[in-house]
Order: sequence, then structure tokens, then C-alpha cells
Amino acid sequence: MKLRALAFFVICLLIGFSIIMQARATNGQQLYVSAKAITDYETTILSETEDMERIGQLITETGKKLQEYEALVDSEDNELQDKLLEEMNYYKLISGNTAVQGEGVVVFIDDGTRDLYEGEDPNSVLVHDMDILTIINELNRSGAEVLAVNGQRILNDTSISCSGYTIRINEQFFARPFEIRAIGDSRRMAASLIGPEGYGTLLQDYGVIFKVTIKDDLFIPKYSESQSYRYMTKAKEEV
Amino acid sequence: MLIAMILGLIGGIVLGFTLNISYPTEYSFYITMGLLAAIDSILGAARSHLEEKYNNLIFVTGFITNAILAGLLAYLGDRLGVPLYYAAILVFGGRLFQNLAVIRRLLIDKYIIKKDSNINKK
Repeated sequence: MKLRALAFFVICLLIGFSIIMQARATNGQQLYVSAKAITDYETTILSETEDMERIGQLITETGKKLQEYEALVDSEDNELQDKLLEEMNYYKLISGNTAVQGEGVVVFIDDGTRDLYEGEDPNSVLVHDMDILTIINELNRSGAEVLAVNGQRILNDTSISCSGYTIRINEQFFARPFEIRAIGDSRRMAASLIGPEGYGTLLQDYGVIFKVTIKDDLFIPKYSESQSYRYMTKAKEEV
Repeated sequence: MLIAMILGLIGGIVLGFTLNISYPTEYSFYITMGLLAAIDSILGAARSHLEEKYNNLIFVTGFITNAILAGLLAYLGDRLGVPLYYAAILVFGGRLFQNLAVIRRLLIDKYIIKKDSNINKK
């Protein structure tokens, strides 16, 4: 009889306890979660934790680097630091992350204003994306170091495409007139464009307005768009 | 017997409020299964107690095996993507009402019909 009372007591204790626990945990809300939702959440959590681990590794790696640099700061020997700074400035210069200046040419190109012949296609006096591309190519061929179209830096991943009346460069839209700035050997670049066989001469023949000016000190702003590389990583070993 | 049950229930509720235990919501199914098994066992025990066939061993082992089976079904259902815990809910729920009906009949027999027969005798 005593055992029976004890057993009843324990079971009732369990019932009351689990009722309250369950009620508090669910707060009276329906808690049906399908198995699929659970696995979905699981994969999400898994990828998030992987991300967190990766970021943690990044933090430790960067911390190590920072410590190295701090050690360099403390040391009297500034040789390595100077070298690093120099290297960084160099990479900034060539990657478009800083404004640059130097001797170069300014190519001014605009739609022609002459009257069309009867039945002539008006496209022949308009500036097209292909014209800009050809001029850029020509400038690069004759030793241009930095290029910008209407202030938009031309980099290794720049795309130039036609979008109706405007031209799209680096996801930005530009309308006529176009001003291409190039820093490099100014005489050579100008000659390649306005020489007898140059592309500029050809455009002028069509009636497109095309001017090349040589400048002693030309300013080109830095690359304004965001750059992200998602697919490319450094190769582990040289092949 | 009734006193032990009520005391246990009150004690459990008080414990639940004071301990403030939290657990992952994934386990709420298992808790519910255990709860159902416990309610089923207590009603079954009350019935057998009234029928005077009560056995402590049967009561305790019945509760434990029922709870384990219910938990296993819930787990298996989770793994297979088939709600197998329905089986446990249906069986326990059905038995709850069955046991309650038997208890009701027994109580009526014990208190009201007896009194009636007493009255008749008088």
C-alpha cells in the first residue's frame, strides 16, 4: 500500500512537472515543425557554423599578422616596414585603388553634327561602345598605363557595353560626350590615334567629332565601384 | 490514494515553476509522449486500484515500457519522415477515455447504485 501511494505520487509528480515544463517551453504556441524544415534549419546552422569557424580562423590569422606588424613597428629596423608600404602603394597604384596623375592624352569624342546624306544611316555619325573599345585598345597598344572614360577607371575586369543611347561602363551609364583620359607616352598615343591609319582619323572621316589633346599633368580618379572576387583564389603552387 | 495523487500533482507543478528547466524544442515531442504515457498509466492504475487488481510491478513496468515505446515511435517517425507518434497518441488517448469510462462505472457502482440498493433494502 505504501509502495502504491509512492508510485502514484511519483507518476503524478512527473505528470505535473512535464505539463508545466512543456507549457512554459511552448508558451501555448503550436510547435509543429516538419522534418524537412528541421533538416533545412540544420543545413543552415551547419553552414553558418562553418562560416563562423572560417571567420574565426581569419581572425586568428589576421591577429598573427597584426602581431608581426606590431613587432615590426617596435623594432628600430624600419627596412621591412618601408618595403611593405612601398609594395602596398605600388599595388594600390596599379589596382585602381588610388587616384593617379601624370603626362598623357585626353581624347574627346562626340556624336557628329554634320547633315546626313539622303538615306544615310544616322548610326555612322554616332559614337558607339565599339568605338570606345577600339580607342581604348589602341591606347593600350601604344603604351597607356592608366585609362578612364568620363572619370570611370578602366581596369582588368571592366566591361563596356551598349545600352541604347548610353554606354555602360563598370555598371555605370554614361552619355555623350565621352572623354577618355590616358596616362602614358603622350606623343606615341596621340600619334597612333590621329595618324593616317589611326582610328581617330577614320572616325573624323565619318563625321564623328574627335579631338586629341596632349596634357603634361593629367588626373585620373580612383576606381569607384566595389570589387569582389568570389571564384578566384591564389593558386597553391606554381604550375 | 487520492491524496497521494493530488499531492504529487501539486508538487510537480510547483517543481515545474520553480526549477525553470529549458530544453531544445526538438525534444518536446518526447516530453509529450512521456506525459501521455504517464497519464495513461495513472488512469490505468486508478482503474485497477478500484477493481482491486492493482500490482505495483505491472504499474511501474507498464509506465516505463509505454513511455519507451512512445519515444521510440516518435524518434523512428522523425527519422522516416512519417508521423508514427500518431499511433502512440491514438492508443494512449483511446485508452484514457476507456479507462475513464471504466472508472466512472466502477465509482457509480460503488457509491450510487450501492446507496440505491441500500435504499431499496430499506
